[in-house]
Amino acid sequence: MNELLICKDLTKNYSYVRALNQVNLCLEKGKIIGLLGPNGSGKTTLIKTIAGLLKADFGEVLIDGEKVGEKTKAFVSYLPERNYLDDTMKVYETLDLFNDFYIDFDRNTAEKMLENLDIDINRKFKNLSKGMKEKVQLVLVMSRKARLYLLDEPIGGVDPATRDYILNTIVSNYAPDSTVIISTHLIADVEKVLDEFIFIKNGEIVMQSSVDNLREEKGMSVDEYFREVFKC
Amino acid sequence: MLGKLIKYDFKALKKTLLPVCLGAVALAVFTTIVMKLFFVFNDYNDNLPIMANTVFESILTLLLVFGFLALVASAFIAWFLLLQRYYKNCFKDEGYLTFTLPVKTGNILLGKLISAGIWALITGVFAIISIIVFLIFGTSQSFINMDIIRGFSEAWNLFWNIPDFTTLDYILIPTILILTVLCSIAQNILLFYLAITLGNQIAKRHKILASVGMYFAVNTVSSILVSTAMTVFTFLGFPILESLDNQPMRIIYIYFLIAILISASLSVVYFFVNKAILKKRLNLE
Repeated sequence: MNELLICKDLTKNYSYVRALNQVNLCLEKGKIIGLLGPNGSGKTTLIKTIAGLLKADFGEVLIDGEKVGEKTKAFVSYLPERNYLDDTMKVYETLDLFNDFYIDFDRNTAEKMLENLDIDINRKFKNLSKGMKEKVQLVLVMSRKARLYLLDEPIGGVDPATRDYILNTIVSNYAPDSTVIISTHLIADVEKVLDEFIFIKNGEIVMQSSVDNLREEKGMSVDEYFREVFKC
Repeated sequence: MLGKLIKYDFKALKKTLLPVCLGAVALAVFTTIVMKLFFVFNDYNDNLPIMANTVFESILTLLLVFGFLALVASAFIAWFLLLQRYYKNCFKDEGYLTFTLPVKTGNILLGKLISAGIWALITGVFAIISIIVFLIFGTSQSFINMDIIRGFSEAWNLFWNIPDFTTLDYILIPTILILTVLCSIAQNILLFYLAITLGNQIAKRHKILASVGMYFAVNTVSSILVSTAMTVFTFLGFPILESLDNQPMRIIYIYFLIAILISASLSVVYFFVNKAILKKRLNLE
């Protein structure tokens, strides 16, 4: 069994808007997958449903054979598109917190990464700059040896140099049999690290393919193809 | 995992509540000092011009009123902070972490109840200390008000020498008091928690306002249920109460035990309804 994530007929409505419409997905272990789509296409809704923050109206999600719950949360590492840490905490206290709750968290790795980034762990989280806060959260999330990483817009708010750092961090930290889902609309930046990509539009999966296949069949990069598919 | 949840909630509450507790004691000391000034001033006011007299008296009165109001306000602030932690940690951005921790939903709620309960008790102890400080030091011209201390010790002696009281009574009374306090703290916290959860579930906007509305709604439904239950109890239990006519303490015990039972049952209902909503219908936006 090589599937890590299975979504069956996943449907989610927000009052009158259908955010996810019968999404069927099957993702394998050991891949870096781009979840790509324009704003409001359902990327965040899909990720939050897999993380367990939203309940689907219909359908189900299985991660390594388990329904979303306490068990899956122990091996899913989720990075939201916002600051989710108590900002009165000091950075080392957030490390303590991750260390206490996640058995797959590697504190040494996290401390080394923060040191490389020149982030003083004795500083309060709220006194860090926006970019630094994002880096701290990314370090926490990527220092877990998780089976599935859900990264929602990990490079949205930072400069290009930091983007490269973040992508390198992701590529060099995930274990060979874990899967990483990166949601973003900055396709050109992430393209080089992706094995597969998923196009999502109006809550529906438009396409799921490997990056190599796309290059062979269409002779296009993901970025070029995205512009063609989602042309306004 | 429950222990760790309690640890982090307790620490987070400490950051906001400890200053409030210390502030309450500082306010008690402040009002005590103002009272002392009043007494000193009263000794000398015959020698002062009328203008100065009025000004001094007004300032001292204002300070005193401020001190008392601030003391009362600190109790409300403490409750607000207890509830704010729940709201922020579950339904704002921090909820994204809280609900992706590999823990049972019931434990999240239980951890928050226990840590908030402990802090409600700590706040209560600080409130009592503040009142005692004021009563002993702030109510007489001399440094310590001996009348108050004598009053306390007399009441204490009276309590331990009530005729017809057995050892059992002296064990039952504190036990019942402690249980009543614990149950009412739990019931109140869980009622507020449930109201906040419901408010966040039903409203798209104005979630805090919706939570306030839900508080009154849940409270009203609970009161109706409780008064119905009490009527039934009274009818069914009337023969028992009549047979205890010459044992008033028994009747008081029965009354308190029923109150504790009702409070505990409501707490359990609030807890499990809240847990079910958080587990089955959580939708963080």
